[in-house]
Amino acid sequence: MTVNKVLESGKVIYEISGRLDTQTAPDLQLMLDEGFVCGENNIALDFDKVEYLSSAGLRTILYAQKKADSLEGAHLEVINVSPQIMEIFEMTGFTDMINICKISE
Amino acid sequence: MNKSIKVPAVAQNWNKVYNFLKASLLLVGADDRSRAAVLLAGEEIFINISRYAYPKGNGTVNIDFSYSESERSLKIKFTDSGIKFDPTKVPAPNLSLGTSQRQIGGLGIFMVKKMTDAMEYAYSLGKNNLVLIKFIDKT
Repeated sequence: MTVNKVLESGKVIYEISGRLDTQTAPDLQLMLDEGFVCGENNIALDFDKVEYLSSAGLRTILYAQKKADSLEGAHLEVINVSPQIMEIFEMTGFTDMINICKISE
Repeated sequence: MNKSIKVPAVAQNWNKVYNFLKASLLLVGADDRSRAAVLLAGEEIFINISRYAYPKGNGTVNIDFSYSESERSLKIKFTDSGIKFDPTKVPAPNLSLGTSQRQIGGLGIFMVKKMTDAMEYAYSLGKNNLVLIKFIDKT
């Protein structure tokens, strides 16, 4: 997994490529935590290049959502989600808890 | 087609198992969706075994991958000699809870059940044997 962090008009976009799994999810969590510390609370996780998501990745997303909920004015969204990964979000009920946008056609 | 791999049951070996499963899936020509489903299910099972099967460490897990052309089915069998554990008995998590009450525990096994067509467990001669079955489409 690689993560490219882009700051764009008050929003921080984490462009994630590769696998978000047991091995890599803790690294993303660390980056998100560093961002929260710096007040980067308006967050988009760009899933355009995410190949694969496991429950470890879901755990990190849930962690970030809970953190965002606890901070005033914080916002989290997951964008450019492929149909395969959307299936995982739907199956686990994440679509009811987190702002998730499908990949643009 | 039959392939197998035996590795120490530690989470750091997931990469090896991932590569083994991915190569096997490509070899049998599994489609994208089946590949993603099997990799996800494989990770959940492998990581569970790594974390919980051997509290004292020093255990291995054997993974057999087989494919039946006539049935178009994949069987992935995980065998370990750790603590007896039947994942087919794990209750489904409550998906209707809000964010603040939601826990990730139990979600992994639930995802495995959803992503595969069958999950069979047997305990014999001190070994956990878990078989995941997945019917595939071909690319």
